[in-house]
Amino acid sequence: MNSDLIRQASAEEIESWIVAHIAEIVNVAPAAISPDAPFDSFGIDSAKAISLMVELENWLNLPDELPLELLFEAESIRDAATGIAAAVGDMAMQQGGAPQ
Amino acid sequence: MIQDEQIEYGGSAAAIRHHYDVGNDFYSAWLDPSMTYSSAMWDGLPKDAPLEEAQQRKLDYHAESVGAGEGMRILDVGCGWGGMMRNLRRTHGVSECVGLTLSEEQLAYIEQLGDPGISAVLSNWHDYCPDRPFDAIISVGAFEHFAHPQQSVEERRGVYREFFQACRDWMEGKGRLSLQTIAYGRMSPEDANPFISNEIFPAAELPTLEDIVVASKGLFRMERLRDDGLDYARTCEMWSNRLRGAVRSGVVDPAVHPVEKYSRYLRMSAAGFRMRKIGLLRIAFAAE
Repeated sequence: MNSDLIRQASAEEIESWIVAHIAEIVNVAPAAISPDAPFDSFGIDSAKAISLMVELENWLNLPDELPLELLFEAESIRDAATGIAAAVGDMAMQQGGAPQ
Repeated sequence: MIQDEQIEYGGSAAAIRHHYDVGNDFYSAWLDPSMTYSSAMWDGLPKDAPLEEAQQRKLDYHAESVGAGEGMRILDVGCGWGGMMRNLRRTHGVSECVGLTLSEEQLAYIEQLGDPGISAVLSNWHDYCPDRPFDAIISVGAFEHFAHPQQSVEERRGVYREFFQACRDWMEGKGRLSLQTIAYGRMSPEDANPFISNEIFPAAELPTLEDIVVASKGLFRMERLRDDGLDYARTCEMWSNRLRGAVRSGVVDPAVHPVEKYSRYLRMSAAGFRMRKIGLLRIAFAAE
């Protein structure tokens, strides 16, 4: 696998990733994090929120930053994951990779 | 990190240099061509309008807020690299602009512009004594530096009031003041992130809207008030992306410039605005 290639994760995979990382930050079991809740309902401060975003971008191997509104303005983690998956798909198209 | 040995009125010069004298070439790599280092404005523009256009919109908004026009003499408190003054001259036909800055690099940059209608003074607003009155005053992104974290609420409001009093005096009790400043929103001063308060903006304290209301009472009347925090979130994200692009294209070298630190600060600030922890106040005042 080319190390520069974007990981085209599905919305479900991204949702699970976000849920797992929120759980780690707030120190609860992932099952306690509802994907229907908005991201800013967990009391995560801006420094930790940005660290999470940067980790997510690294995991997805993105060449560009994800717009923060995808995470902060979404009505739920699930919606955020859907928006992020779409943005990742667009970036992959720009990179020249065929969508999965 | 600099040490704060004493509280300086109206913004610590050492603190201002700490942040702004990283190098003009570094800032020019990720700011828009007008070198505007404050929030742009998308109100009235298409959602996807580019940064340059939204910065121009912001400059015009403040010019219109003070009724800028021919024959006027306007003061810009915290003039940065002079983008506001250049626009006042070029677009609004203002006769004379004077800018106050505490940054030597910014002063040198403005002096080499070569516009006889634009001058800059290396001075704190607290120590500044103009030889003639002004018709209007604009201050964008400076108010954040006026107070000090070690001051009490009363002391901070006292400093802000002195600023409003000075502005009123410089306009001889008539004229408009257009102010743009970041302010605390849902977040209180105690919750400020140590990375931002120590590493990025040492010796700076944000106002609350209440501080501004109390400090300006009886001196200025608020004609218009907006909280455009989301504009600043977008601006910070665009800067961060441009910085990343500048690194990729080799314009900025991470070994020379504090890329990682700025990238983190810009995105954290954007998150703060998106979470409404901080807001961006744009206030049009009229002297009363």
